[in-house]
Amino acid sequence: MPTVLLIDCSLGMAERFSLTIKQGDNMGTTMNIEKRSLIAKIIEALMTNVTSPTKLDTMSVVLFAGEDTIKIAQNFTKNSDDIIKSVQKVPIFGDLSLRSAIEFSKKYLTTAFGAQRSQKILVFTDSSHRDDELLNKNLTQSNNQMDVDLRKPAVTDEHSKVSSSNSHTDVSFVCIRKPSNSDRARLEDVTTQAQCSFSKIYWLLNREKENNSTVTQEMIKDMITNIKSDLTDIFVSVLKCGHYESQLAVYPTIKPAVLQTTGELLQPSNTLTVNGFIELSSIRSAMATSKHILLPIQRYTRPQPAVPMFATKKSAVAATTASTTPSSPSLSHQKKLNTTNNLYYLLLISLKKEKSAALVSINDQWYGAIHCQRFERKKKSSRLILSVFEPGDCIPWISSFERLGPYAMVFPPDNHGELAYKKQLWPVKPFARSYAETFLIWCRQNNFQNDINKFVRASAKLPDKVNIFHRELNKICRGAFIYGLRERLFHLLQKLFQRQIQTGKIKPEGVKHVQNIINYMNRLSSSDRYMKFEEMST
Amino acid sequence: MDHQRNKTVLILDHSSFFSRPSGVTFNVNVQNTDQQQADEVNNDNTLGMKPLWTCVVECVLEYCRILFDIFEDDALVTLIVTGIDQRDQSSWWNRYKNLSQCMDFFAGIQPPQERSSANDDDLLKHSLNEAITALCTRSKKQSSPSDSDYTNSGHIVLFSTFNMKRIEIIERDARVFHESHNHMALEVTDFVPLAKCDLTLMDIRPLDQPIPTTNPEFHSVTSILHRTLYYTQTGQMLFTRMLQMLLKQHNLALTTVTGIPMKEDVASRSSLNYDVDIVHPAEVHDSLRERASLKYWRQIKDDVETIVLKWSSASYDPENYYDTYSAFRFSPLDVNSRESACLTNFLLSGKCVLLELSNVPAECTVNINEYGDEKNLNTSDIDLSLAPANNRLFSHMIISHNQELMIHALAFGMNNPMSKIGPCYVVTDEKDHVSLNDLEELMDEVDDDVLEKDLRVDSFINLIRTTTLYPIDTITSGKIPIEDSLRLLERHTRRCPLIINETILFNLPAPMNLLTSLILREKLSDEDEGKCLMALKHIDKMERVGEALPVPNNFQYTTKVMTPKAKKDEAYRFLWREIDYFVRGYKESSDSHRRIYQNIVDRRKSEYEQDSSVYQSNKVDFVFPMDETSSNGMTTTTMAAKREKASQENMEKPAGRVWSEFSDLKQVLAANSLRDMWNRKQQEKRAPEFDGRTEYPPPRVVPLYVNLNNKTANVPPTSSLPEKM
Repeated sequence: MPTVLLIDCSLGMAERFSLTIKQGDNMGTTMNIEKRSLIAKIIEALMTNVTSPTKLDTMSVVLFAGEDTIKIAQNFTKNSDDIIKSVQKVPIFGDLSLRSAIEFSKKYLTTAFGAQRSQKILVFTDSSHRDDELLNKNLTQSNNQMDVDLRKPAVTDEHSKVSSSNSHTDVSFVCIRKPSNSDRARLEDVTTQAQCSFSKIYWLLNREKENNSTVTQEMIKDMITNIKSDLTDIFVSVLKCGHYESQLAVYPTIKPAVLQTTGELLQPSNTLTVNGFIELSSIRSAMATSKHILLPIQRYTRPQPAVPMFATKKSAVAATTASTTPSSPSLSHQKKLNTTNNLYYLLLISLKKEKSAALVSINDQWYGAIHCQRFERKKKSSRLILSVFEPGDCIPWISSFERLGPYAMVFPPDNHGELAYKKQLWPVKPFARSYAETFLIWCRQNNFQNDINKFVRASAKLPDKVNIFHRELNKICRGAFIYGLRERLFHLLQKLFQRQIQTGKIKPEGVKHVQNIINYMNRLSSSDRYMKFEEMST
Repeated sequence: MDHQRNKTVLILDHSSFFSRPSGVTFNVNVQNTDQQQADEVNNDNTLGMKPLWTCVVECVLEYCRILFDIFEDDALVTLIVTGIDQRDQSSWWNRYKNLSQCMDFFAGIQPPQERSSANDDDLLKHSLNEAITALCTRSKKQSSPSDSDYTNSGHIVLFSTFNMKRIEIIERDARVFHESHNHMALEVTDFVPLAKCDLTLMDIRPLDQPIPTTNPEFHSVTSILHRTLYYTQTGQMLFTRMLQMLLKQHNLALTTVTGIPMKEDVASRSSLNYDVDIVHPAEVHDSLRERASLKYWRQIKDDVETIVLKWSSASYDPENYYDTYSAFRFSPLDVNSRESACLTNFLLSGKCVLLELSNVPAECTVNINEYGDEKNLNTSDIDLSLAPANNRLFSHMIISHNQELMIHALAFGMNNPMSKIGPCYVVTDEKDHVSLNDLEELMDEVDDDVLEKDLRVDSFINLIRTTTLYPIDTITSGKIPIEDSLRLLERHTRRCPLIINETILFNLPAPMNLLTSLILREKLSDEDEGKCLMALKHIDKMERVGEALPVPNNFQYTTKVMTPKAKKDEAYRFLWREIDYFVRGYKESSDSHRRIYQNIVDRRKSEYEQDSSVYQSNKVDFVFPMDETSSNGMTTTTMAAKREKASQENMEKPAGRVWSEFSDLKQVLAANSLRDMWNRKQQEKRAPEFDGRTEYPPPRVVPLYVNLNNKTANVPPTSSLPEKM
């Protein structure tokens, strides 16, 4: 999920706050800092950890104040330092227009990543100073824009409906003070007006509870933990393939989906079970409702060469008994951890080499595909990507997931021999499609002309390629019946062929054939139903 | 996506009016550069006039063609020709399953007679009644009980000639019919009431007759019944009207693929650019609408709206997985034209075309340079460097799936031009339960090549191939094919190692690989069983001869003495243990499996006796041998299995065996895990004591306590006490 950090630069951000930094034994130093510095501190704290969200996705920094005062301080990047640097000196401007800033951020995200996958905007602002400013602004805006003020609620209603169903853009707010109810409502309102979905508000100070405006580092820490757990929204799941298992993290979390046929809401199960494999060239980029990256929980460790030797018999026995008695779960636990991701890596390499995808079930009747993707050209490592399909059988070229069978069942090996795998084409559903087969479509003059041309050209080659000539003949004659042109067309064709014979366009040996078909057309024009040339002449 | 489809009935008036000439001509002249031929172009001998009937049939077949191409079995279209008897009244919606059958239908119909008959109007009325009957009849999907809430709606398209009076009559008739049918539907189970019915009248006129208006006229007859009237001349105009009607009725849209490069002929190097129009469901354009208003890409072509997207020659890899989020069938508009054929053949051959947005309006995008501060923007990241240089936006992908043309909507943005999952997802991150140190280690990624060396990739690839899925047409009742695949996966992973280092068995060349592959089968023929036993014999022989085993490089030897011989011996011991373990996992599959397992058990007994001499000369230290299954996360089950194994083997052992010498211990150790051995040792040490206590007063006990008694007898307790005192 690419994220925009949207930072308020309005005048209110220059307001001073006291920040207490604890050092050692409760000896806190209190600093008097501006809100903007506080925000810089929050972002810094968010980024400087090893678990910085930039490890998972790219982020950018946008500063905003008035309607036109918007600045991209940092383009999308995965470099935490750049982000921290970009927020160190936040300027202060007068105005404040949250809505246009959110709209801009959304547009920015869409420009960079398209609008189809989930995205996030994190607004750093404060509610306390805005009470009058924004309210007034809103009022003046609405007064300017609309003649009838009453219409506004209706419009927003409609918007929110749209946004809740369609929007992939989540907006969260980070405030220094807890916004009052009316502030909160306004923030939600602004979000829905920008056609985004409102997600959450984080705050440092609860204005209702405490009146002192001292921020402690614990407060910041708590808030950051919250933000981070939402930003890096990981879903820990078990990947199962027969008896093999591997624990992995799915990012972002798989959202529940609705099974269209029954209207049932399906929750993703926390076990992804491999059902089998499908060649990538068969699955052909099947559409996915969401894409997720699968991460190993444990780093891959190469097996260690032989364990250190024991000096004496005694110690060997002692060590081994110690390690094998049930009282040493920690060792077996460790051992398990070390190898817990072998399946992940095995799957990764095998899928990469085999150019295949694993079909996994996420829930009953809900499937997804895992494929291996090298995500940066220069790097040698790859990741597994999970594409989640819509529940049910929604991929036209895979008519039913349940009716997919293993290779040997579909292509049984002959005489009980060894299974020799050969890549097979995905079977074609027998359906006559107009573009795959030649149909007589005569609604345009040139279609008809082409068919006639082919026919006449074939006649010139007679007596060679009689079969082709007859095929063309049958086609044209059938067309004459379909389109109700029998007599007229046959008449003209007869004339045409007579002329062809006269002008010597037909080879002497071919004349006999042409005479035959002229007779055939004669008989056919008085026939009730269309008959093939072969049927008629026998 | 899988929404219910409307039904469509097309009624063709077969009255004498349609035998009239349409004014549209056809030409059987062979087009040639020949001068002589050119003179003949307007010759009466080559020119023919199409009757109105022909024009209507052409138009109807084109309508059906597009529907069948896009909706296939779900096209739900039926044809009625006035005065032509439809014999089987029940199968309205299975009658025409494809275009070919529609054509056959028309091929069996005589062109309209020139003499007019008196009852033309009655025949039309009758057909209208039939049409409404058809709409009320259940389609295949409606007959399945789950779709009870299906809203039954449909279109009736009537190709005829109309005047105001006739329209009134038709409207009235249609209303009466559908009302009576809806009443009937309440009583007859075969019928579903019509919730919505659109009656479209096509007033067909020859080319020389002017039409009053080009716009359709709408009229709501009732809340359910709506009438639309199109006036049209034959030829291109009829075709355009048909298309407009089709797009509207079935929620389809047009896209023009522009700038398709085509070589003029083989010799010329230059190529010209062509456009091909394609028809597809309107949802395809939703992704564009999210981006900006469609007006930016819209064009009006022959009175029909189309969205223009540019052909892009970006390379496509069919073995890649692109990030697409919707796919719909499409059909070329002019299917038999040279350009369309060229495009479709290109796609059907397995290639793919990305469609590019020619221009994205400035107000819908963010120009980074405009808003940014230069010094902050020149980051090291790839994102920015891509943006100005690669301003192309790919919005759709056209591709064929099993000979079906499909248009995909891509998840697109500036940063992921190929719509892979973006480079934004460079990750190695964790939940909090891993310590920070671990995390830092996780940051550097693992080289794929390194992984490949350690893991049993080839064997897993075999498994992948075995369980590669393909659709099955005929299924035996009660069997779900995909479950077979799950069963296969279960069997294949039951006793197989994941890591090369942990196995010798699976590294062995033929004929041992026969054992590992054959055992996995559910049933073994006698021949297979023979092969497996042969393989076992082979190992036996190898061991006797002392052939080296393919021991993996990092194999964890447990011997302290690293002489080649010691290593080899251990390797063999390990191998037998592996074989035992492996076959045991499958011994319940069939009698043959059991026999093979028994063979191993028998064989192993003899092994020890032969081997015992080897061990005596070696000083061996033991470390917990690497268990091949501890890797795959089923430690608990294997532990359980091992415990079971241990107890089993205890049963087999003679009861009173005493573990006095360490060398004896080693024999067992050689083939068992230390844990097994330890348990056994503990148990067997204790065993005599238990025996003694339970079999009281057995004669065996007596010798044990003889010395004790003697001692106590020699030193009388009574006397000892005062001595000690």
